[in-house]
Amino acid sequence: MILDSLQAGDLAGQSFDVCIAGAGPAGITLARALSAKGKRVILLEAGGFEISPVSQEFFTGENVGLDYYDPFVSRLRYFGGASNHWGGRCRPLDARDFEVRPYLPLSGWPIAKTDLDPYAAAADAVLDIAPVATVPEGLITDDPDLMRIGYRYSPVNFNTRYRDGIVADPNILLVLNANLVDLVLDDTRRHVTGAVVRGYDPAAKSLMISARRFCLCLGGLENARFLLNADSQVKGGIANARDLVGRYFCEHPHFFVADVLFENPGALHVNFGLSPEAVAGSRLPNFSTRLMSPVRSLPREAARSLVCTSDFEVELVRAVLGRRPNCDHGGLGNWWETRDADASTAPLQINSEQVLDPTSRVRPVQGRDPFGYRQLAIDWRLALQDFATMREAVEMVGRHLARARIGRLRLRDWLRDGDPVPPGPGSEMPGGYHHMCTTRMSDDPETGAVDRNCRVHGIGNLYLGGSSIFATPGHANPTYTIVQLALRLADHLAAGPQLAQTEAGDRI
Amino acid sequence: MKSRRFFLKALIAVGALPFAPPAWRRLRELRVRSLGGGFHEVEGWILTDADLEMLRNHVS
Repeated sequence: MILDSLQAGDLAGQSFDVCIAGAGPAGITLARALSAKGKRVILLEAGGFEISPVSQEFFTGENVGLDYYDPFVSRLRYFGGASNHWGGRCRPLDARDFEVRPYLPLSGWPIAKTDLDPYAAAADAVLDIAPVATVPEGLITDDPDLMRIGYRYSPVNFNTRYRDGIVADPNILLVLNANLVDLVLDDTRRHVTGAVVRGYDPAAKSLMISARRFCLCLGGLENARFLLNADSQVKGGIANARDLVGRYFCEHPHFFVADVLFENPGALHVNFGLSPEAVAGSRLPNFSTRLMSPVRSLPREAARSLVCTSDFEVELVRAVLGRRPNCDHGGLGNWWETRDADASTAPLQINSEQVLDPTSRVRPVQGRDPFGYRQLAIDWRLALQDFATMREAVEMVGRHLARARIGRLRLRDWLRDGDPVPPGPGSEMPGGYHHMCTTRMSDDPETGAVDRNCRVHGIGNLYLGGSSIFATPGHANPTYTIVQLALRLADHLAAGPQLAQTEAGDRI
Repeated sequence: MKSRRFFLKALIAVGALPFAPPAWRRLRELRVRSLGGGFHEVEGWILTDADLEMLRNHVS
C-alpha cells in the first residue's frame, strides 16, 4: 500500500508493529523481511520515487575536517536511498573485523561473523548475487603477506527492484514525502510512543504515528543528525546522554596511494588483501588494495558497454557465462578517455579500515534545514596510524609486485610526508560515500549507542539500522553487511514475547 | 637576437653547472631504507637487492 503524502485521518484505525523511517537498503530490507513474518509495517520515506530538489535540500551540510565530499551529493534522499547511485560492489566483513584487536582502540563487535553468516543466503537473494563461494580468492604462491580477494557485483537498485513489491504488499504501508522530525518519549524517557512526521506543504500540520517499535534507517550520517536534533524532551538529543552520537565517523579511505611501473602487466593481479598468515602476525587494521588495470582493449570495453546497458543483458551474460559482468567501471566512454594513457603504469588504490577516533565526527551546526533543524558538519579526521597502514599496505604490495616480476611501485609523494595531507575530491576519491560508525554498536553504553540487537541503549523500543551502527568499519563496502544486519534485526523484532520481555527490562 | 638569446642560455647553464650534482652523486646520496627480506625503499620506490645493485653498477 502507498500514500503519496500523509494527511490527518489517513491512519485512522490502523496499528503497526514497526515504524521504519528511511527507505534505503536497510529500511527496505527490514520492511520486506518483517512483512514476510506477518508484521504490519509503516515505512516512511522523506522523498518520492524520483530525486527532487525539495527533498535533497535537507542534505545540505558542510565539511570542517579533511577535504571530503559535499554531504549534499554523497547521499540521496528518495526511495532506494544510496542504492540509486551505488556501484553494487559486495563483500561481507571478514571474521577478524568483528574481533577485539588490542592494538586498535574500541575494536571488536558484540557479535561475531558467525552471527551474520546465517543471513548470507538471504542477503545474496536481496542483492541478487551468486554465493560467495563463486568468488575466486586465494593465497598467492611465495607471498606470506597477501592474498587475492574478490568481490561480487549486485545489479540491484532498491528503488526499481523493490518499489512495486512494496506498494503491492498488504503488510507494508509506504508513505512518501513523509519527513520524520521528532520522536515522542513517554514520561520515563525510556519508551517511544510516537513518531512526528511532516510533509512539504507548509500549511499542513505535523502528524504523530503510533507503533509498537520504531527503527531509524535514515543513513550513516542522517541517523546521527536526527538523534542530535531530537532534543525536545532530552537535552543533547535522544540516545546521546554520553555524547557519543556522531562520534567515531569513519570512511573507507579510497586514495590512490602509489603508482606501478609494469615489468610484466600480463601477470597482473587486481585486488589484494591481508593473508591469514599476515593477519595472525600483524598489528595492522584491515585493508585491501586495487590495481587499476592499465590495459584497456577496445573490443572488451565495447562489449562491456553493450552488456551493461540493462538488467536483461547482465542476466543473459550471467546465464551463458556463469558469472556476472563487471559493470562497475570501464566501458567505451572510459576507453575513449584513457586511450592515450601510458599502459606501462597504473595507480594503486587502497580501501583501508579507519581507526576509531572520537574526534572524527559529525555534528550539528548553526545552519538550518527548511524545517529549522540544524544542518550537519562533517569533521572527518584520519590518524597517523591510518596513514601508516596505507604505507605498510603499499610496501607489502610493492614487495609482491617486485618478487613476482610484475613491476615496481612508488608511493605517492603526499603519503611519504611525515604529516600527510591527502588529496580531496577535486582530484581523487577520498572515500566511497561509506558513512559509518556514528551510532556504533557496543554492549557497553559508554562506548556505543546501540546494543548487539541494534536497540538504542536505554530506550526499550527504538532501533537503528544501516552503516551508522557498524562497531568498526572493516575494509569491505558496507551495503552487504547493512542488508545482513537488517535481516537479523527483522528476526529479532519478530521474536514475540521474548522480545517484549527484553524491552520491558530496559524500561526499569 | 637569436644568437644573443643562445649565449645567455649557455651562460646560465655553465654558471649553474657546479650546483647541479651529476646523476651518480644524486643516486649515492639517496636515502635507502631497508624493508627487510631483500627489499628497500628509495625515494618511495619499493626495490629489490637486485634493483639496487643494477642501479649502482649503472652509475659507477
